[in-house]
Amino acid sequence: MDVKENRITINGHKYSFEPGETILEVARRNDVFIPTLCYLKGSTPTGACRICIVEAKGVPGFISSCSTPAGPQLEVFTETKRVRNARRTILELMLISGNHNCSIRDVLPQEWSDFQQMVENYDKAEDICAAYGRCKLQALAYRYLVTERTLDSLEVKYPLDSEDPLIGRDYSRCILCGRCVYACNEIQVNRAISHGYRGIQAKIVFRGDKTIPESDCVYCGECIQVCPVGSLFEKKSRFNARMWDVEQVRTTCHYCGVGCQLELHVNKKEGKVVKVRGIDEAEPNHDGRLCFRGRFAFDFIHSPDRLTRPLIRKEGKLEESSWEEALDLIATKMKEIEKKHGPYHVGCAVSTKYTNEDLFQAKKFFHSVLATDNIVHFETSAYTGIRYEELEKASTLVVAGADITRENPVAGSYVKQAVLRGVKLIVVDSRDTEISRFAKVHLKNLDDPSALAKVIDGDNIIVIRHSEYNITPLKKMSNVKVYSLTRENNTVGAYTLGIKPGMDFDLSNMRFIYSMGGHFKKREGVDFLVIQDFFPNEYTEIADVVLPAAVWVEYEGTYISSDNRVNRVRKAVDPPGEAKPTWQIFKELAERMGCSWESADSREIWENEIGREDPYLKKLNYRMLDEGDGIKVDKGYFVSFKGANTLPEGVDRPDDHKILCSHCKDMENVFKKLF
Amino acid sequence: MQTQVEENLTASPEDLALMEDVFRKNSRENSLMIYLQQVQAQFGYVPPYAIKYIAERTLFSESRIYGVVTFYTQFSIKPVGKNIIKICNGTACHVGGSKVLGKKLRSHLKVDDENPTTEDRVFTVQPVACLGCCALAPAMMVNGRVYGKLTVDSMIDVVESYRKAAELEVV
Repeated sequence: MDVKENRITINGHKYSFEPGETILEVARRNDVFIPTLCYLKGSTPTGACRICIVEAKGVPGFISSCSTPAGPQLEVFTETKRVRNARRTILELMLISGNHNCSIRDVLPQEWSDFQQMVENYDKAEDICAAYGRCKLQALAYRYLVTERTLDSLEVKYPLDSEDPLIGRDYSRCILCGRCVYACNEIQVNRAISHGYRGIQAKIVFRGDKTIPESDCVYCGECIQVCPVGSLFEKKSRFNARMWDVEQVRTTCHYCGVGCQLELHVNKKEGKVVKVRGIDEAEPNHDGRLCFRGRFAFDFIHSPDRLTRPLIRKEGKLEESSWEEALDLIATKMKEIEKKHGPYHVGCAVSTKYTNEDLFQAKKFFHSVLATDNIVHFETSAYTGIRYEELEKASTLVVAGADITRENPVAGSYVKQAVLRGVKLIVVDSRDTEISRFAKVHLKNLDDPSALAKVIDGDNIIVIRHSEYNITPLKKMSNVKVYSLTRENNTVGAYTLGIKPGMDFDLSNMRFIYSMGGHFKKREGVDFLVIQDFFPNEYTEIADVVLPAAVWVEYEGTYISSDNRVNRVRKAVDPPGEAKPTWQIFKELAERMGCSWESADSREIWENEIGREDPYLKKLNYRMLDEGDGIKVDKGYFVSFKGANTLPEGVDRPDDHKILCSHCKDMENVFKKLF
Repeated sequence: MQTQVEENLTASPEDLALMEDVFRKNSRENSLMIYLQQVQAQFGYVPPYAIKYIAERTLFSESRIYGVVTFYTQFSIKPVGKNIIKICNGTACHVGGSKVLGKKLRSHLKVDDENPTTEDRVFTVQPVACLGCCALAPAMMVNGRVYGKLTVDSMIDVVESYRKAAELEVV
């Protein structure tokens, strides 16, 4: 087609468009403002709310710009007097449809207070709407000066749904835009929410019009993320995440290897993280998608159970002490044991939850200060470098042994979306997982490799496998790309920094162990055991020294996610009590061992030391990482490990996500429901 | 119209056979309306286990099917009566006093808008916008048969004749 033909006129200016693009998309791309409420990027446009209407020359009435494709003959006007008046009427009708008690002015004082009283009786909150300041309806009412109330308010038909501890539903403020329905069905594909009833009775419902705990909801919270008004809200932060009290900090999620970008809402007065939202325009979790852990399980940060001071075992009991005393003791013991038994009897077990800077410092400490390479983690091998945008282009998608919708839910949403777009999914799993409900073929085992070969189609096959699953028959086939998603956020980082899995870690050979997330069931033969953790637990019970570590929102750093993306982790709050970042603990420990380390913060460790060692990471400084969505490293890390995938004797690997969630309010029921 | 559905997700073997039948008859995948219409015809309503059954065999989620069922008046999520009485509320019938007739009928059968089915599940009363037989106003329809030029007495007589027929069938 001639290029000239693909030009639309908006407000007298000509803009080119791609075939299939809607008027709204062309306008947005060129910074022409058109208001929207029901429009949800990435899902089917419905034109339900009508606020995006525009006028077009020669077209009677109005057209909704979110659902009308741009055409070469169209001459569109977005803000004419008629359009503005129509929008004003739409807004007025929305405002009288429920308890919108923030912006209705120019009414008699008595009438106004009666209305406020009525709203207060409805939700008993004695507070203005929780969405105040970030409500789209409110913003549009101000923009279009909808100050009058010429019609009577409608009666609220449905009571507040406060059955659920995490998600609240306030029907009195719902404008039935349907964004939550499309977010649930088309973005996260959990398919729990739907429109129900009709006309004046219309309501957003779950299956059987049940409450959230009884429904199919998996608590991804995408519905809250997209709600333009105050109808859906996080109960944990209903009234303490006011826009004037909070500051937003972007960071990376610390749960699984997907590495979602989070927007932490920090209440400045309380100095606490009060709410977490996904970042709409970020990768890898675009459309603001998050999972139940990322969105709701953050309040362990401020749990009163956190370790805040070092503990030293004195006369058989762990007692609080100062950092000086604890670090001095560790250094003395370390020197003593090293001298007596040699460096090969000193070891360190790390969790791959820590930042690259932490892990690097730990590795440097054991390698250069103690001259031992006994520093290991217990995560199994992984095929990194998954590209989520590739999934929907696959001819066949195989998910082998991965309960992807539970372990890496955001990646699971991409798989489910690919299925909705027609990709053939094959699940190999002995269990009936949620993802197996979306599969065309569900194989219970891989005993007969030909069974799988029979059902695979096409020349673009993508396999996502759990790291412990044997997929040898698949690897032999051509046109097969194999990826896996790591359980922990920074397993790729640990491999990159040269920390190896320690499946041959011989506990009985160790006289001194420093554990930062390795879980030891026993300590026979170990003369001195140092454990650093966030919470006291059954594993810290057997330690000689327990050090309080800061958690991921309490210092700066970087992670590398399963798609080989280096992401920034940022400080949002101060650590509780005397808890310290891990990199700092090792710096101070090194000092006591007679080594003075120059780098004084995470940035210096990354730029001056890690970059020097790894040529691929060399070019990435914090300034570059701070722009946008982190940086993908095209190294194609193939972090694989030969040998058994069984844990060594005496080592435990509990679900540490579950442990962290258990220190959060109201997460228990979620776990009960999902697992 | 907050309707509490009794939680009955396990179908009896007979019900399951009926459901299998619905699916055998319609080989076309994902024709939700047809499945639902057949279920409604076979069971007299759309039970929760039917929604679950359809969801397991199609691309539709249970919540979506529930949404569709509650949207259309042709479907009911509550069991309906053996005889369905449609009271016409069209203009001609309204002028002819259909409001009074409806009120009398409901009080006679002890039903209301929230619970339109009698306890013995013999009758369900549904208001309709127009039956299209305005010359016979005021009118009602019982199981597809139209009764016109009603008075309160003649209406009750018709209803009672159906009740008698139902009783005879039971005996």
